Amino acid sequence: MSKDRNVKVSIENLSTAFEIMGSHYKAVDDVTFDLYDGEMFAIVGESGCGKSALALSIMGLHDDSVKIEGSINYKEKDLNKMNKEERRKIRGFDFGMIFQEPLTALNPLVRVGEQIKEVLSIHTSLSDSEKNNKVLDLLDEVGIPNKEVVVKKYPHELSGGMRQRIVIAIALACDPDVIIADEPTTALDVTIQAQILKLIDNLRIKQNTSTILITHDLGVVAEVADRVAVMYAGQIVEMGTIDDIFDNPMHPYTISLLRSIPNSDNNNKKLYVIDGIVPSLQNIDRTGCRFSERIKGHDDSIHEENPQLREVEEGHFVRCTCYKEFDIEKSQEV
Amino acid sequence: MYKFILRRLIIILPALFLVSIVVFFTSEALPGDPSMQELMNRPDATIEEIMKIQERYNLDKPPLERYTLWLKGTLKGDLGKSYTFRTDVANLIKEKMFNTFFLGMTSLVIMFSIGIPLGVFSAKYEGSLFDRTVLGYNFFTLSVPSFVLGILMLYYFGYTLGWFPTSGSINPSVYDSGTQIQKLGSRIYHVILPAFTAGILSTTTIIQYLRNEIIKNKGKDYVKTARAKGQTENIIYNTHILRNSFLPISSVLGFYITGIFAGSVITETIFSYPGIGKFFLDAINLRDTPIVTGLVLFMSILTLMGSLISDILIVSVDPRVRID
Repeated sequence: MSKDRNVKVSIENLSTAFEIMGSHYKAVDDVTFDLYDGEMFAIVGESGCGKSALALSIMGLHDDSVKIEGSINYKEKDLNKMNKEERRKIRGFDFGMIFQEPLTALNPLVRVGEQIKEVLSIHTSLSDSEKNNKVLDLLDEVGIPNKEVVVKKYPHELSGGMRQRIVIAIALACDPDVIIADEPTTALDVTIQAQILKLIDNLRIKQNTSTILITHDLGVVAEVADRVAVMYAGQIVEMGTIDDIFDNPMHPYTISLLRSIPNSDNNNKKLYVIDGIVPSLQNIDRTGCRFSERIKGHDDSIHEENPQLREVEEGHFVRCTCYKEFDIEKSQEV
Repeated sequence: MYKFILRRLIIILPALFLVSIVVFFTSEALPGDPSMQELMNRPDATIEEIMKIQERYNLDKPPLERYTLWLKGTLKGDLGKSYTFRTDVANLIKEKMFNTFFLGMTSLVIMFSIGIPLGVFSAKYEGSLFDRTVLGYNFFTLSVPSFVLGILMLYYFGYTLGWFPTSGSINPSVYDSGTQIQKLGSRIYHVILPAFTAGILSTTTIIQYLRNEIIKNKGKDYVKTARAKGQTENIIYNTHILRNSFLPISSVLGFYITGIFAGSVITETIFSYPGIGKFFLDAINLRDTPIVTGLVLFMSILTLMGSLISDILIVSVDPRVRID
């Protein structure tokens, strides 16, 4: 399905390294993927596996101490080679971002209408009344009732769901080509989560915006994503269509993640827990399969010495050879 | 908003009543009595003479009655008669108040015009040589007491260099026969040294507050949002970050205004500046109870007003603070 679609953003060998006590550690390590026109591309993984660092790298929101290598190709240009000013003009105009925490993402002292208007003032030359009308249209689009009242409200006067709709309206204001949603539903309660997710998905379909959805919630992914990349310790370990990942998961990490979802079918069984934790940035073993430490009951020989991301089926990529031998039951017994 | 101010003013009334009780009876407890002072050089004074003086100041009446008399007078603006100056306390205070106010306002201006830029720029260039110098300066202003800096300023700029007068608030000849502009000029000339002493030493709080707030706000999510909007760094800094960082300062501003009057005691004494601070100290030394009572009451009112001003400021700049 992916072959016949246009590539919107092509990310090649992207690495993001943070400086800790004088040395740089890669939080995003050699990530390569294409984002197609109008697709919902989900990136999943545990906390600390580099999802947000990746999102901020694509947006160009890291500060100067962070070393970013590789290329982000958009409209035949490499964003990574642009100067700050060129990059700034793309933000908010071609690339919109939705943040995790809708209360803190908005300036507490500024009326929400003004905060949406700010984007329009930066990137367009509309007159003031045109901007005001556009703000009202945007509030309509993100499903806010009483928009004339809401524009004059301050963030703290709105509910979490409403605030997130405002954040979405800000991201959408200039009809961007790409939207990056960094855990947009994590801070919201379950009923609102579904609404916001539906909204992001509908807007993507309506405006053919390519959307990168970052989440640790596989339920969210299953609902809306077209393709999924599973990240572990800064690398993509498996990538494929939603069917590839959910019906035919291959990498031990993906299989373990899917097994960790509470499920009403296995009533009497203990919930599967992945042993150990994601290694911290300084402690990632940069050689060999990064997930090997958390696989029990298997011989180390199943791993590749230098694991590569390979296309094992059309459009389905898996890193390392260990998936061939991995047996989750065996891992669980130990 | 008006309702809020009105309600706050009404709440102040019972507080003032309590303050008046405390102030009056505390000063009652002070040792000393006007008859002792007036008759100090006359060991041969008769009991009748002492009684006469005590009667003149209502000292022969029981404390509760004296309090009621004092309160009635105070409400009418009459704070009683000074033991030493034999004139109305209200008039005496009025004269000094202008000087103190002038000194306070000048030091406030100095404080803000030094403190705000230092705070803003040290936060902007956090960790730079400039920032570290400002931190050093803060350490200095926090550890040097005003009487030390005051004496140094007085010695160096007043005595050694002779640039500024070492006492007073205005040149007496200008006061008698100068034009308005000459009077203002002379007042400014006299106020510079004490105002700098008080102003520089109070910059510490404002710099530290601002610097911490700005650094804290720099990392806030809404700043990230503004960047994601494509906003320029200058506008992000000058509007989003600074506006949020000035909030806590507006909450202490009211107390600074109170601090002008209360904190002027030492500065005014060192520079022999005829304000209420120095006057207050003199009155205590002279055991002039009506003046002490009047001034303490006045400062209490100022403290209450200061907190009211702070509240009004917060309500008007921070939409999150609800007033109804």
